[in-house]
Amino acid sequence: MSKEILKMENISKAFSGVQALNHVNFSCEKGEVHVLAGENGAGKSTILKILAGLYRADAGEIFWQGKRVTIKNPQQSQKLGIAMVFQELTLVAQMTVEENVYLNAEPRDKFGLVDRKALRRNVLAAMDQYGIHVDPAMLVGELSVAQQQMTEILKILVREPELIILDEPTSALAKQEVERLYAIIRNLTAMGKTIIFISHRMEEIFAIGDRVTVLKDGNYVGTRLIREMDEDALIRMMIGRSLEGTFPQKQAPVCGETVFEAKHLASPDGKLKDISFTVKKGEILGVAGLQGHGQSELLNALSALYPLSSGEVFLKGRKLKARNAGQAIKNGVALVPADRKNQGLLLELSIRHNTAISSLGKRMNGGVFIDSRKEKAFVKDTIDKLSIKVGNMEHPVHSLSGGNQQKVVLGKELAIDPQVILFDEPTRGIDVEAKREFYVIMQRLAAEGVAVIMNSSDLMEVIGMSDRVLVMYEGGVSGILEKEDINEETIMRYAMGVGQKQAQAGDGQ
Amino acid sequence: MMKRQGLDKHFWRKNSQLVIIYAFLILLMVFVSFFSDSFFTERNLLNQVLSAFPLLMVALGQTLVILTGGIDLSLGPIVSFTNVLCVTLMNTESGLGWVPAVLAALAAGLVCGAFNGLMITKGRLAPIIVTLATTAIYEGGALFIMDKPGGSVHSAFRRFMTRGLEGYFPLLLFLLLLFAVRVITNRSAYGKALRALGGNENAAYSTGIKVERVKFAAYAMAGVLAAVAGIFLSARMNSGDATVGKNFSMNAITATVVGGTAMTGAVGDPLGTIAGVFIITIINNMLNLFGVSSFYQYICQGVILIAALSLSALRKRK
Amino acid sequence: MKSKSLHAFKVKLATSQLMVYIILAAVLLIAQIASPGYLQFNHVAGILRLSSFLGIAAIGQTFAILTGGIDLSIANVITFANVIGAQVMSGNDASIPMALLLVVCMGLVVGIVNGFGVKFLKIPPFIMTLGVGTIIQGIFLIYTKGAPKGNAAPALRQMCGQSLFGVVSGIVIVWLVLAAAAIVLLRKTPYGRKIYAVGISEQAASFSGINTGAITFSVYILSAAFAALAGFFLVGYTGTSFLDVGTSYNTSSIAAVVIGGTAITGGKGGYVGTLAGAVIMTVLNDFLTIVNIPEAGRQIAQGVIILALVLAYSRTKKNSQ
Repeated sequence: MSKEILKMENISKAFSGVQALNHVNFSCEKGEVHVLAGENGAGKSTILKILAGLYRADAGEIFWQGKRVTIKNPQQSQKLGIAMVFQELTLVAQMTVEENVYLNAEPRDKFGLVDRKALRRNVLAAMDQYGIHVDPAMLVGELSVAQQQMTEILKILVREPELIILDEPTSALAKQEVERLYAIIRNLTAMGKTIIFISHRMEEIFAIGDRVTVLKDGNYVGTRLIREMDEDALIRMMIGRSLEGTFPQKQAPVCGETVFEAKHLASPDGKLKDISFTVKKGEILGVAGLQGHGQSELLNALSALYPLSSGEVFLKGRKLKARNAGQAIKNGVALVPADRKNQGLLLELSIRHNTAISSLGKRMNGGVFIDSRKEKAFVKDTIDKLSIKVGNMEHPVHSLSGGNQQKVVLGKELAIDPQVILFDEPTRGIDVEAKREFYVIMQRLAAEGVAVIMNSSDLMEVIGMSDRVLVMYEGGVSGILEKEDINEETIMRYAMGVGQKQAQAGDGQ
Repeated sequence: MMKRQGLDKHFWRKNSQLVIIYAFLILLMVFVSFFSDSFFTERNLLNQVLSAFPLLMVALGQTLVILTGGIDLSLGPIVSFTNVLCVTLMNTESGLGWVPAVLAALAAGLVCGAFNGLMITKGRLAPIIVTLATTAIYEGGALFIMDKPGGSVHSAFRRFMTRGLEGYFPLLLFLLLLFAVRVITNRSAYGKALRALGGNENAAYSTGIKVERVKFAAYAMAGVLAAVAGIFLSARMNSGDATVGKNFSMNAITATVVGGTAMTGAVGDPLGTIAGVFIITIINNMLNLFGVSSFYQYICQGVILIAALSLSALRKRK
Repeated sequence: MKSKSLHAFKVKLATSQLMVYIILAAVLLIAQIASPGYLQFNHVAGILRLSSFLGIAAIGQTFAILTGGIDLSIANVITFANVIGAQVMSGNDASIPMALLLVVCMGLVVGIVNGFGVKFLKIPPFIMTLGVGTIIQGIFLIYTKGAPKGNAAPALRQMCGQSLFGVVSGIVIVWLVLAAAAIVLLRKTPYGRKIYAVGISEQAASFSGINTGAITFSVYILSAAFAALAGFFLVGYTGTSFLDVGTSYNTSSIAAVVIGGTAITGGKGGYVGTLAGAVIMTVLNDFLTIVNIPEAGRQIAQGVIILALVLAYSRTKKNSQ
């Protein structure tokens, strides 16, 4: 078979006493797409960051093309021919596409200065070569997330690396863009380049991967050929449990009574256009759509975190007024935001302070001071109720795993006794077990009569959890789907803006 | 055709700030010329450069630092320090007596700036804290060398610095250094790195840019430029003064901001900064011309600074 | 195992505000050894009296820095308050309330302007406050025409003078009361919690339902108000007013805050540390004066010590990660 290009042996790494990697082995063959799989916190990102020179391993050896190497910083990694596309993009918003693509690799003229003509020429050539087209003179900050992602990938490719690491590259991409990315990857492997791919999406792993290495809790589980596996077998390797029963049964039937209603919502920037919907008692309303069609903006707007120019919101027939998130919370509207690290949590503050922050007024002593005893009891109660794995509630919240962090966000929001709860990408980047726990909680909340609205870019999640699905397209509602219409094909049709016509045509027949 | 329009649009977007600032500067100059007949004479314009020269240097340095997203509050004290050092070391007797003094002052500026850079990069401290602390150190150092104003400089040196090459020397030196700084910020790979780390330091780091080295160099260059200001002042005043640089840090920040450089880093142009300097100096000269008490200059300065920042905030919002 | 617990202790030291008290003890000890009699009761009372002005000014600075901001206008606010205070009271006890009222109003106005610039115009705090400080400087120069008038009322002088109650000066008691209030406010009230939250992440704070704009606005008002109070009380200490009475307070208040263990990036620390930081800064200056170090040397020492301590803090923290 083909030649081994990378071998990592017995890699160990600990962060402040916690073992993130424990004698992990990992190797890649030239020209393959090697998937790295495992739950969040399994150590996938850690081992790749070691390879990219962002972390240094405590122990272990790295062999590159048969030779032993040490990688101390990103420059050394890049010099070897290793390039990483990060989950967090490495673009500079204030610089143009072309400046970003060739950052730190600018073509020089005879004075040693940046040759701007050559820069433009090279960028256009590279864009043609890889089929990525973005206006090279645009500022990156003005691009859509998907365009930024493609720019990032182009930036990696022009460095002509031998080995390319893609860390969840498709999370921000629409279907066609994912297809284009697959094409690029196939093109690269045909050229003899090697790809390491991290993904949480099963269909992706099976669509593009050649081999898969599974990590679990920082330990090496095994490496397999993907064509010899199926989804269930892979999941069993990751967690030792099968996919069956990921989505829990509904706990209570939906009844006719409307709990929550939005009428003609629109935002001044046009990101939201004339949105109306209702949520019935006991119901989970799913929100779906391609990236950037206004789903997050809608949820934020309902929490008064995004400006609305018109529209009304009713809770149990009462009109809600909120000028800021604080008032929305007082109205009983809770939001579990999409970006846990920047929006959901105060990362460096303690678990206790985070859990308490949205409901401080509820545990006062004489109306002026915070009652510490009540607060500790409340936090302990939340930890127990949501089974958050916590050593000490005074520890900073960033010391928790992704799933437990997300539970702290949820606990914080539940503390306001919400009547409406908005989940924005509630299970992004958390492990399968925590996902399941989240689903159970959502069902329970719906059963208790809380209006539950969930936006997710994971279609299976939307399909598995929702009673009805609101599909968004270009800031408006392209359809509200029920029952048997809730399937991948129909949702995608509406999400791409072709649903309505066909639906009308269907009515006509 | 589409493409062309697109590029022109980008041109305007990239340069609109510069065009506006220069339009404002020209309007201001025209306005002043109504009150002073001699304003647009060669002599007066050279004098303008002469009086603005030290601030031009410091502001260029401040621009380099602000592009990284940092700030240097100690540039003024470096001006004072290098000023008194230069005067103290100058031997007015010998014909070449000024050379070691000038070199020593330049070296001192480099060391001061490098020390700031070292603390900020290797020490991983916030620029504002470091330069606030080094402000005390460099000011103290200047006072230590010369506790009251005095001394004098070599007369040939003084004449050359202020009136050399038929009065064109300050202008030429200024243009040379402006050219150098602008090549660094806008044309060199270093400049791209400088802006990149000002815009997104993590991105710059993972792109393989030697973030610490780039940042360090920016503070070091700012120190050298402040030293040029200090040396020039010693020639222009023909004496040393440990408090001469007092207002320079603040004025340089104002000029940089007025010139369209974003306090958050990455965006800006030295050409804008120098327009900012001239706007400030012309307004100050105008106030003097009208016989307004120098006390009002403080108010004026503060208002200009806040107005410039408010305007850029409003532009951004739009 | 032992080294691990030692390490944990070190981490705790670095992250808590305890460290600064150990440093304070060390500084006092050194002063006592180098200049025997330094720790005499009268002298310590004098140090505390001197510290109280910095301490009061640093209350607001602590708040501002905890939100991730900074207030560089306080030096000029102090001077302006000093000038107004002296001129309005003009040695007359009956005018004290009026003087106090005017000074506090001035502080509030400055704070509102700062807060407005930071919150609504989104101007970086240090530059907004630097600009406002410059404007205030112009205003008090015009107001005094370069020569401040007036002097302290006897009652204020007595209060800021030596040992009002035979033990400590009245101003020290005022300081300790304000300090206690600040500590309780930060630790025990929702307002305090929200200040920390804003300092850690403004976005996350606003997603948690905190009106971050109001918090930001309020800390600049508090900061200017406390600076104004400090400037007012300084009249009682110096007797008359000077145009550079406040000059050193920008650096020294920030130094007191960061030496006290508050992170300049916000969200971590508190006034307990600042309290000791203020005393350290005062002792330092006082001690160097006693051993005849000239102004130049004192400035250098001040800068070096700030750098050394902040560097030491950040090193310990980094090692702990």
